[in-house]
Amino acid sequence: MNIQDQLPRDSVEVDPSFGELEGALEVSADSSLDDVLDDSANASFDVIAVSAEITDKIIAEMESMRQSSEHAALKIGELLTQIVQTATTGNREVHESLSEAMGSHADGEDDGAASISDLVLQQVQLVSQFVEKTSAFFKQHLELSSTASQACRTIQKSANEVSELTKTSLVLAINLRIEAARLGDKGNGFATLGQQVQGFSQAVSLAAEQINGSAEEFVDALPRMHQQTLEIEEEMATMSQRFNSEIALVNERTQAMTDSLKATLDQVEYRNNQILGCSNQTLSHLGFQDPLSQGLQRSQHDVKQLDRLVRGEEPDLRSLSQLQDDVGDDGSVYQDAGVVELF
Amino acid sequence: MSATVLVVDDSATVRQQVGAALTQAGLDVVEACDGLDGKSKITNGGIDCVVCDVNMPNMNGIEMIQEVKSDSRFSSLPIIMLTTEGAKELITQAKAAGASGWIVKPFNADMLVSAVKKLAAV
Repeated sequence: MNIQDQLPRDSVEVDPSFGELEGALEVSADSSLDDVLDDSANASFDVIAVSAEITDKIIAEMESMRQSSEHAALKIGELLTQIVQTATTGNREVHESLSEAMGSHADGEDDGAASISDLVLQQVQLVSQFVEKTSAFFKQHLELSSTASQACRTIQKSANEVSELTKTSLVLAINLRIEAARLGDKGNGFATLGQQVQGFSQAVSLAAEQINGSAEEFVDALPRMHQQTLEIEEEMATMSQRFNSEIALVNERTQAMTDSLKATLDQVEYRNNQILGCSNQTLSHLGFQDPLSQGLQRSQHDVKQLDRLVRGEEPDLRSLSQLQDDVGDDGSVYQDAGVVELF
Repeated sequence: MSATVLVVDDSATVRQQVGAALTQAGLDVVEACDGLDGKSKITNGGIDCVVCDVNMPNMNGIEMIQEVKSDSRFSSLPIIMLTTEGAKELITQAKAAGASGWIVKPFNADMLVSAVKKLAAV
């Protein structure tokens, strides 16, 4: 006989207060379903209607709980997404900050800005160029000194020759004056000419002496200049060596600093990626493996079956796993989860 | 080159996490809450790839594919199904409708991104 047939056909008054139903529906633990139904049939209310109301209420509450659960999962998801975004932003900012400090993109991209080691290298090149040019200048300077020294000696030689010539011209002047004296009044013109030649010779002699003296001073100064040039050149070479040695040290330390920064960056990135990974995993679990949601789903299913029983209908005794391929009896799901199949 | 991916799912959580995975991979994401909404957003244009659930209200994923693929403009649009379903007949049905791939939830973000990038030719 259908269970429905055992229930009263006529509805009796229904008390909307579920509180009072508790006593009326109270049954012992070992009561069978038939006993319950018999008791219900005799009760002074419509069991089916009340059961339907209770079922609706339970299902509505479960749905509300499921929605709350989903809402909570969504909220956690949002927060995890924020964590992911923060970690991603952190990665980017660390990259940018360190790249700015080092003058180049940590990811290897060139933004046109010179790195510290590039700057050091540029300085080394500039100093090397300066040293090369200075060295060339000193060499040229020494050659010019030598040429100048030679020219000075030629000048001295010429000045000496001029001095010798002036001596001859002085003799000529004296001879002119002697001849002028012998001629008496007629020789006055020659006397004047002799005087002028003598004055001219003395002036030229004086000038030749001055030239010779100056050339002598210059020639004396040239070895000192030469020596000073050599000393400066040597000093420059020493400074250059010292500079190169210190620059090498700076370069070495810069490289160590860069390596350290890169290692720090890698560490930060690694940690951030761990945060990203954990967050993504949690996000992945949130949507589909929420045990509360699955439990509620199963309970809803059970309540519906109970309602079918109360209504006198045949319950669907298949488990949730039989009804849904992707849900197991224990709530675990998706054996093939994550598998990608491209057609 | 970036691509715009439409994520069609009635679960906001799923849309959120799929969106986060794709965005992190440098892809632009547009969301739709069911097949009907998805179809509307596809026909608006600018979509390079679709990640779509199967069971959705109003219009399910397979119906959406059938409608979209009937429009010659979208015959080559790659559509990946992302679903808890794993039944062979359903997969066959989706393939016949024009789906490009099938991923069973919960997805692996890297694998999803890789599949999307491959199909969207990014």
